[in-house]
Amino acid sequence: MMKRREFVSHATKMGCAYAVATTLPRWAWAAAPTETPHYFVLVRTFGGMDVTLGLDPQILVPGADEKDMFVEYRPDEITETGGLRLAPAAKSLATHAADCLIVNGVMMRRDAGHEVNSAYMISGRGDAKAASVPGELSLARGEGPFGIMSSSGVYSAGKPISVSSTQDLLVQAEGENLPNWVEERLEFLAVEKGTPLELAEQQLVNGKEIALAAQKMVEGFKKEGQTVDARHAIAAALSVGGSRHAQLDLSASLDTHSNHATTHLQAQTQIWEGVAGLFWLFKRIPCGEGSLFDHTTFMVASEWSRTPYLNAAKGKDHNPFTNSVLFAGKGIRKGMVVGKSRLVTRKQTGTLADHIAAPWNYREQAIAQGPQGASFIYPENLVRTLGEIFGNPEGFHPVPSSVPFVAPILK
Amino acid sequence: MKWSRVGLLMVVPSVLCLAGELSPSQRLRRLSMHLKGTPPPAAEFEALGGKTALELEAFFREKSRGYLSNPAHVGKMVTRVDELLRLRTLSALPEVNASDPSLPAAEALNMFDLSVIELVKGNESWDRLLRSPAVPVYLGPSVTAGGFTFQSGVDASFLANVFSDLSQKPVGVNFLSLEPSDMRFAGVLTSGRFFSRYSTTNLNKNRGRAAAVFRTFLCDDMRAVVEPSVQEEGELLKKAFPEGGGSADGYHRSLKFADDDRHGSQESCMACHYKLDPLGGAFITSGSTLSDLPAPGALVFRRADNSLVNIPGRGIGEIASTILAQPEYVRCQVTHFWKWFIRADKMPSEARLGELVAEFDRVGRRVNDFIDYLVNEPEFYTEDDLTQATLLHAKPLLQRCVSCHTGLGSQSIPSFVAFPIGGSQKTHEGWIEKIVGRLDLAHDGRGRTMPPKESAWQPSAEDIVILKSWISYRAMDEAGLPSVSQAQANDWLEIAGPITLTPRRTFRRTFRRYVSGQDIFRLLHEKFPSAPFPKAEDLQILSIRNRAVFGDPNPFDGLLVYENVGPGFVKEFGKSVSYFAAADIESGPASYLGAEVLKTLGGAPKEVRWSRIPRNSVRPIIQSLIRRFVDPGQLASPQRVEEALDRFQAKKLQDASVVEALKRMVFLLLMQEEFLAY
Repeated sequence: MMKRREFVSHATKMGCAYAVATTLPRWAWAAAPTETPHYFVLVRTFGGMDVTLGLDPQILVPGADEKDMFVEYRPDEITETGGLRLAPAAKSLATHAADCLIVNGVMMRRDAGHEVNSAYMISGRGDAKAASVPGELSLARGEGPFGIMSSSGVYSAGKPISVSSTQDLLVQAEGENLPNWVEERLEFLAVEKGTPLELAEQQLVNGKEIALAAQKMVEGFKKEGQTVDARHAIAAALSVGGSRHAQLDLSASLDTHSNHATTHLQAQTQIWEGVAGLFWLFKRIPCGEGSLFDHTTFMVASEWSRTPYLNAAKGKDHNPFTNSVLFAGKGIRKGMVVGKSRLVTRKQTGTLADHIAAPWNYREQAIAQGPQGASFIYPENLVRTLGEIFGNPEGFHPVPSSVPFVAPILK
Repeated sequence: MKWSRVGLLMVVPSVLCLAGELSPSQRLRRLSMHLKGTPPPAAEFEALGGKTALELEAFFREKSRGYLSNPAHVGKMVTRVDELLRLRTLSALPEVNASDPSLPAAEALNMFDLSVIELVKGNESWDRLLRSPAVPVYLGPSVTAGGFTFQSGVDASFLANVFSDLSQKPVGVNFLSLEPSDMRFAGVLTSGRFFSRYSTTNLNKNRGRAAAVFRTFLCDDMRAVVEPSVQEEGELLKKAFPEGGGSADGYHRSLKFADDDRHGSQESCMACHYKLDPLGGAFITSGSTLSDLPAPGALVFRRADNSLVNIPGRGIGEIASTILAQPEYVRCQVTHFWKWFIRADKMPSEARLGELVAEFDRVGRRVNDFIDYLVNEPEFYTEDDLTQATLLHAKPLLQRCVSCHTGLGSQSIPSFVAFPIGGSQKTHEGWIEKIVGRLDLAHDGRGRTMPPKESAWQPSAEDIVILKSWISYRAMDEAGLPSVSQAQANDWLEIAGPITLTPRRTFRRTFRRYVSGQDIFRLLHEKFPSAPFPKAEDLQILSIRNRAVFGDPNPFDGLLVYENVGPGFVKEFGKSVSYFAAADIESGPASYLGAEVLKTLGGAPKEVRWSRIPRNSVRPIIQSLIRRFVDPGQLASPQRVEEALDRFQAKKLQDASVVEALKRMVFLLLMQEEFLAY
């Protein structure tokens, strides 16, 4: 097993320090020696997380009962640390709390189906006119030779986005010589320059040194005794300059329309443990003056939350009226919660209870105290805020610039 | 300095060079690739020689009928229907079952795919997708658990409410007969796979299922969207401030609909919901399993002439029968076939569509008969001259303008594809001039003011050329009639005459179809017959990854991933070739080298260097590789390829092992656009 010192040395050579070397091919980040790296990782979950079990812990308000909101933990099981409050499913984040920011009370407007709301959450647009944030950032800021490093398909909204799979980097055995073969093919049998196939081949060839570096880094993780997965592939790809933007899909059975109790908690716990593991990994990899984590902005989201009460099948259905998003890493204010949600009991509604986002006042950049000047924190506001975090790169316009950003998120 | 804009480099519009009729070998290859997913064997190419035009026609008719009875055709149709319904395509080939060759792939042993398989195998009426006299169900062995015995199989529990005697049925594919009056069944719509793909909730009320029916069977594509709405925000704020302001009185009454069905009642939403809700009602008794009770519903929609169709049905079965009787259904299905077998980027004219509909009905809507007709029509084996851009090419770009202007806070504009633009010749010319000006087409877009800088979409250099070329040819409409004068076009664009396009090959939507992920495996399986398939675990992994890169349609818009080639495509294809080639060469080197050469090596090809191959044997080996891996008529110049391989082996392969050298030469041959397209 590689010793800590060896690992650091290895990662320094092959990690972000490697990415700033001037010997890299033209695909690489040529301005790196004077520019601080800034990466983006979107962690997407699918199915709809019950935020009350994770980022938005709840204690029943006076007058409310289980038919208003089913809460399967005691108040003393809520973890309060580093400025955050975490329900049991998310307690694995406690060690990273001081590096994170939670946005509660994100309004998803309506249930238009898992796919549409997921696209809305990760692109800021529910009308298929923008790609997910990694895609839009990639188009605006440029990308490394791997394109977006992703553990699954990237939502492109039909835009020409280049993607490499994490699996591809993890299982290289049969493809180790591929870039050399492709180079030979181009040298001997390319007919005309510039066809889509040839451009793709050229991209692969130009990135071959970086691919080798990424593979060595993955091997380093293995030698350390780590069980490598998509997170390691993403870390390696970003470190060596293969990608600037990544997407990690963490899947678990979150869509609990029946038998919600305990099953959803278990599933969501897996998700947050996966996220905590990702942060842990990124923090261990040196990058410039700090760690890879310090140079990466993370966003973790699902398409909506779940209704507060149990339905007839003891499940919880889709709740688009509130959602929670976790931000971490570079460019954000840390150790704080922005926004909140509230329970409107069935006594108040006259029908079923609502768990709904608390309105937000953009003029005051605070939770609205009344209807005057009130709006909500919507996905488009979060995507717009990410634009601010990345310095509003030219060409990054998934949502109009007139959409206000959420100022307290910014560092 | 910035990172390379890798993605933008991939935007290459679909302009292609070939014009006129395909050569007989090209036509044969296309026919075979379309229907089987693999090229024809060498003997069939050879059989083309010396035939008269009439004999060739007869030959192609015979071949199309033969190919249509090939199991791979059935598998390809399963994939097409999966994509049509936006289901996940299978990771295995639908027609291959490793453990029981009499069955389709294990993944296809579900009601949905079995229905398609039976329909295509039996050349049944396409209508059976919606109404069938029997339900094909695969039932596995009985299982006892918790004191109960039940039949295993993916659809056994789905059908348990309807058929109580499934445990008595034999293991295998069973055909459960249905009474014609049974309103609970509607072909593939009442299958477990369809239900799980389009799951429903109390809020959704089966609208996802209804939308899939409209999209697939009536070509009415209604997409759920989430867009900002002031009215909606007002309602949400009231919901969030239940105690607030003057809205308390009657608040709950006024928002009553919001609690259960706000989305279905707003005016803009009702443009779709008046259609979706009545049809969704016919699924209402079925959640994740099929109910034993039919639910009433209705088929409601407006025809192109704005007349209202509103036909109630006692169950989804009766509504399915109603759909089958609609002219919109027939036109829609014919359009699917046109896209699959002719081209996706250019629809037939109205007159031609009418002919196709008549033929579809004439053959009793039988699936293979209609395909047989299509693939013997001139559109199948001729190509357009695409050196000048037509409205067909400009249309997607113009639609971008219209799409954005109907979006967030922009001024509205007339449809740029409905001629004359704006309603009169004068407004039409005015709008074309505006398009030229705003995009600064005269200066290749350098000073353009549209789209705005912050727009998510910006035209590429090639997009600009397409628009310029289209206008330079007098902005012709779809019928090829000029809409402006040459003098106007020249004046606006500051040119002396029409702009001819440089032909480019592309992986985008063109008449050239690119092999899908599954076809790649069909091809490789045929080219490397000794490679294990599909049992090996690593091959299955390749297959799944292959699907991820090439296969599944985007659930939002149905676009196919493999139509946009990138490094991922190159990698996955390259690895697949490498895997198949290694296995095949190692298990049968004699077929690559010849028995005589193999004997002279003095060792295993894996260990002996390529330089040991006698010099006079090299060229015959290369020629045999080309014959084996390149179909006649596939490459523009086989001679050039032979010379290139000759140079390659002399320069690069001397230290490689024989197996390694062969693998790399095969890779060079297969990693060609000509190989990947047809």
